[in-house]
Amino acid sequence: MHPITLFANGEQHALVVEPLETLLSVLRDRLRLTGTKEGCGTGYCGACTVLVDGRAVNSCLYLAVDTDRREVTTIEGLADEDGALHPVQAAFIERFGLQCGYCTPGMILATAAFLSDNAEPTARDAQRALAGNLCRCTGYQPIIASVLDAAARLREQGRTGERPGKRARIRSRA
Amino acid sequence: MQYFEPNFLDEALVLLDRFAPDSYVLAGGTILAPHLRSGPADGTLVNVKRVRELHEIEVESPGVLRIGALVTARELSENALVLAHAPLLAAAAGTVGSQQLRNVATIGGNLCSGISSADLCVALLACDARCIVAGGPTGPIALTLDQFLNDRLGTGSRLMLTAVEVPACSANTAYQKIQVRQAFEIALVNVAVAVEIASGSIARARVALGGVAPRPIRARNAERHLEGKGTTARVAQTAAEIAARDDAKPSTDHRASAEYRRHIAAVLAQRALLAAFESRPVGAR
Repeated sequence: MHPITLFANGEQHALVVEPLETLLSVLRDRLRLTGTKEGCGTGYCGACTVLVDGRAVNSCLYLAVDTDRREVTTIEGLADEDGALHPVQAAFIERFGLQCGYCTPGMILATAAFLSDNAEPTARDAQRALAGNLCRCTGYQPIIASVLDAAARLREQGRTGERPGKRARIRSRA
Repeated sequence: MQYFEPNFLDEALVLLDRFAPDSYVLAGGTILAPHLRSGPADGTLVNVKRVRELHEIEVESPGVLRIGALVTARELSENALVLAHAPLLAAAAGTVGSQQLRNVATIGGNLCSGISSADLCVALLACDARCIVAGGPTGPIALTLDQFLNDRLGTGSRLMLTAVEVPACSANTAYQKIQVRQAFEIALVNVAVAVEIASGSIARARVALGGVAPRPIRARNAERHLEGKGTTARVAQTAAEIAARDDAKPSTDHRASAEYRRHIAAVLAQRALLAAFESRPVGAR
């Protein structure tokens, strides 16, 4: 058992975790942040995607011990402080970038991380960036349209390059 | 499962030695963690992420880029030193897995994975990379990547890959892979090429192939054919045919037949050679 302090959606949590316990299990089973979904459990489907220090990772592969003093953003923590949806969330709703919704939290977080690095993506860029997120409903076209719409919204709102997610009050490990 | 987070390399090596053969080095964990979860849950996990030097990328001596074993695929694809000194490695790193995996998977893990078409491994073979292996009785040793792949450090080893050294060369390079999807798929076959061209002829050639043997290999017959020749389409085609016929030793598995792998090896080697002939050498900018 190993003690860690992680910052989930800006909130500090002191936990004692097993060496092989995944971030996914900590988020869902201990912190009750069940917006993060388990799909394949092996890193192929991307349903469990969350952000660690602003970067997309598969939380089913990422070990909880490696989140010590890091900022984790789940779908519950992506909206703005005032409750307004993040532009990526708004775009997915507007463009119907979802059907059953199971892959959606992962899709949205992978998109938010990708757009923080690429303000003006092509459809091809978006397809490559989301290659690690599977959707069995939509056929992907509305998802790619949502990503491009989200990029436009971020540009219009002057939020390009912004790191998605709430910041913890304490600086995380470099 | 016992767990340690050493701060220093020496500590990590003592732990690996003390608990071998049930000790495991934890780097990115994308391969190791699911493997350990599906097997017996005892043993000792040595998480080496607190060891600072394993994260570093630096020009060690003039003309040698030293890359710590924990550097991720994403860092390799973006780092200014890697882009300047080893663009072939940066190009291959940008094609590893998905965005999510590139953020986590490490160069050390890629080289120790045993996957015969590991992207970074194939690129590094064409770069004449050396592997720094620590934990032996005489201290750290440098092995060519070819030797390293022969000796393969399995899990439970007392030894640890700590860094990869990439010598500078003024080569034209290219990386090609083929996969069932166009992204996020293990390559069926991949090819990395580095050719040094002096006054119109090939002074030195490196052709590395993945997915056509139990481990990534150098296509030495193709390399011998290239050296001394001009950079023509005919030379590229013949060398690619030699690589596929004489160097590749593919076998059939659930993903592709041996015949298909051999055919694709020739196609990709030819494409990579032509692209390398056309490319600008490292440093010529």
